[in-house]
Amino acid sequence: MLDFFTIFSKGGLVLWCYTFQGVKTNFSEPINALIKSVILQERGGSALFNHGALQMKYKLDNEFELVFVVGYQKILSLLYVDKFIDDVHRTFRDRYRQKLLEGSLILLTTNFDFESMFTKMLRNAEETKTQQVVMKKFHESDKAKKTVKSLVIDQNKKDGKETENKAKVIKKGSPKSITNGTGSVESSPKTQRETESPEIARNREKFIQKRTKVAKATMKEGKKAPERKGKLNRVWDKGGTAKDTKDLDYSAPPTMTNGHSNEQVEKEELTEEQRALCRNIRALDDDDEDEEIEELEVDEKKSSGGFFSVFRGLVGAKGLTKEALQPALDTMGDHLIAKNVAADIAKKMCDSVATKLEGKVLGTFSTIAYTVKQSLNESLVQILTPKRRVDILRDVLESQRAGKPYVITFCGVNGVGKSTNLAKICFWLMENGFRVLIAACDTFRAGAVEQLRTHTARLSALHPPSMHGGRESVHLFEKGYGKDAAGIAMQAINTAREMRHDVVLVDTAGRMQDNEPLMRALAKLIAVNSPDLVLFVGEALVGNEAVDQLVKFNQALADHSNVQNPRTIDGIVLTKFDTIDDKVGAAISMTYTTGQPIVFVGTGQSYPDLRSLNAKAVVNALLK
Amino acid sequence: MPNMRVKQLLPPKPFEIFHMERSCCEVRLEMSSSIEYYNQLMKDAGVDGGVFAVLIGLFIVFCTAVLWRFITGSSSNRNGVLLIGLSDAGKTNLFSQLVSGTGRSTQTSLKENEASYAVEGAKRSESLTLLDLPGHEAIRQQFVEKFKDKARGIVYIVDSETFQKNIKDVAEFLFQILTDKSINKISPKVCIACNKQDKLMAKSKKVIQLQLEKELNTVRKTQSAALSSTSGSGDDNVYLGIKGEEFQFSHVKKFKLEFLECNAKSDDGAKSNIDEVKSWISSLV
Repeated sequence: MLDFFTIFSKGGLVLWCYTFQGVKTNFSEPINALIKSVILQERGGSALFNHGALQMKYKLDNEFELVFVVGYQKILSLLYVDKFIDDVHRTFRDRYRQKLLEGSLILLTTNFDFESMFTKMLRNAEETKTQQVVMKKFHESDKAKKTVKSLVIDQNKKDGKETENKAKVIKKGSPKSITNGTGSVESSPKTQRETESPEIARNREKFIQKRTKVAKATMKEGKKAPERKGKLNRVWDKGGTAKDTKDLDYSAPPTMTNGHSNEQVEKEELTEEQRALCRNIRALDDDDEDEEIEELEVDEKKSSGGFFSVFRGLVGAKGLTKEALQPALDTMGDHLIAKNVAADIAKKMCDSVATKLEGKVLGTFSTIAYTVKQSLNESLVQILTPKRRVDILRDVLESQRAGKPYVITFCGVNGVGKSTNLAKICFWLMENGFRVLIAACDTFRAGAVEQLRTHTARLSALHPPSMHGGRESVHLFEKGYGKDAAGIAMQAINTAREMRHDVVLVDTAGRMQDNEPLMRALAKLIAVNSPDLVLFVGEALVGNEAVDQLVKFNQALADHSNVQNPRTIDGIVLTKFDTIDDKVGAAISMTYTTGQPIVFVGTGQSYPDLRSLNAKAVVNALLK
Repeated sequence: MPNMRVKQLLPPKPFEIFHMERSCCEVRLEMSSSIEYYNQLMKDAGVDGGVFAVLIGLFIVFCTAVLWRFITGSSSNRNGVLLIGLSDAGKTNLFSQLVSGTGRSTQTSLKENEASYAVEGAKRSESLTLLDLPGHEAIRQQFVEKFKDKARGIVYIVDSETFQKNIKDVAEFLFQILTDKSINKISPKVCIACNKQDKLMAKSKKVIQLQLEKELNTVRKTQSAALSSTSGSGDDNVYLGIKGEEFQFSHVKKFKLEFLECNAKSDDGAKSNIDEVKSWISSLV
């Protein structure tokens, strides 16, 4: 039922591959897609990946640097795959442990003959899956093993004299339980306890068990367990039958031989029991002390082991477990959240670091915290490093050669700095000798067009036509307020083509991500004009909102366009970077959510305040 | 009985003196006296004791530093050959061919591959380490940073078949390598290996050289005009070639750039041909 199973090293060498019969296609392409999108984008928390009709599960071995991948058709829901991968991993590792410990040279030259074992394990896995769970017959169940008497609710114990009887019953029950030993502790008091709540029953049983330990040391063991009697007639003391006349005769003074009078007997019994209780309590305290002493001893043993285990941890050859990693990961997760990374992004990062470190053997003198920090550092730098080439000037030159304008669209929520950063980018492009057309597609906000007009005037003053061979380097294309933004953008691009402008910067109105009609309008603008670069402008002050904004923007752009491959966000502009000190987590949230690079960073309100992102510096500030 | 008394009256023999208890005061007296003796010696020689101690300390530190540099930092210690290039250029395949002589199916690398490589006819102390670094954009910079100090030679592998499509990416990565400050300081030998020559649409090395020169000319302009980074630094990169002239590979003399052709895969009838690369690597020793 599986399509393929591959084992390859993290360095890329395929150690062993198995394609099932009847499956012809080469699987290197989906596996490469799995590696690029899941492992390299740090989405390692969930081990599932869909590529077309294929679903793939993978497992990392961090001790020997291997990756195990299994692929099968998505429509089949196979339940044994998880356990199967684990089994294969364990078997492979155990079998080739020696070879794997040596270097790449051995990996290259060995021929891993794993097929027979693999087919055997696959057959086992498939068979266990197909075994039907057979229903138990009645005589096999636990209920049949109980006797009828244990199930009978003793009606007489129900109400009224419950508390007294309970007290007596405990005492009666405990000697039973003492002498019966540990086995029947649960069964004897059970019949009398049905009316109580389970918690009280549990506590009472615990209490009784404690007392049994004590009783073995202190109390006498002469009492025999009474036979489980059948239903007896209830005998009331002084119930008023003829037999009781002797007892009811108080004319004579009480004698010692008969025992005492009943009251005295009871009193003595009570005092006896109370003394016994006190003894028990003291004994219990002793017992507790004993336990405490035992625990202390155990702790000391542990701590003495712990003293040496510090060194053992430094020198030892054990792999890391998830439990060992958890405290360090929790600290790092909290640290990231304190630095303004969105909460579930921080959690996902920690999960992926856990997947990468599980089973890894630490080197000498490296602590868990240090290893986790290093690994997290690498992952964060990996996320912030662009996955494609980011060189706007080169692309503009390319479009210039092709004779068409390079269109950049700015979108984002209200008030993040779209117009300001548009002006900064325009200034930068003009500095590099390009002619820019600004399209004022924000036809809603009052003063938007005037704002852009002011910017254009200033930029023109900074770059007069005399500097650029008599031609104006910046123009504004606007059609006032209230018009359709997509139409204005299209006209602007046509104008730019005619007037030989190199770049068109399209400014759109800010909109909330859950405002459906506005998102539809934006999607229409982008789908109709198909810009070369769709930039999402986000401010660095945003926290968990960043994830929501980006997800909803991407979704809207994908949903409301009618083409096969919809245009989604291509890059991010991170603004107001000068207002955050070192709480730079928003950068991580945004790049993790979209997978797109941060193209520009805005660090102020004047024209030169535009930077590119330095991944290492940001991650250092984040993990400081 | 008179004998015993006589014995007691005899003076203690020399070896008995050692067993006599010496109080710590006696020991201290002895030591201080010897220290005074040496101090006196030094004063006679004209050397001040304190200065002398400082001089000895400095000398030890100096010796350690020299030894340290000798052990770790000398150029003879740099014997790595880095195989770098874009994703899917054929680095891991070439690595396996060079090390074991057989090709192997490969996937996208997540980590580096490292193996020692014995050059034929060279002394045993001169063995090189082949390092195959991953080419994926997100992680390649980290690995280059890690291993660039060990480079004696860099093999930049180019996929000749998809070169035309990816020329911008190829040029950008090559530009980053050639203008890196620490790589310029070490100045290893660099060769550009045009891989996958067995494919039908593969470009020859001359064509690749010409196209790369033109592209690097443009990249040089755009990268110098790029925005500075948020941390303020990032402009210490070296200028490639000669200012004011069209870029040519002959301008970059310190890397002794060479163009090679090779073909690392050995199935589908075409035999692998990596002799040029092998002879280039032997020339490193």
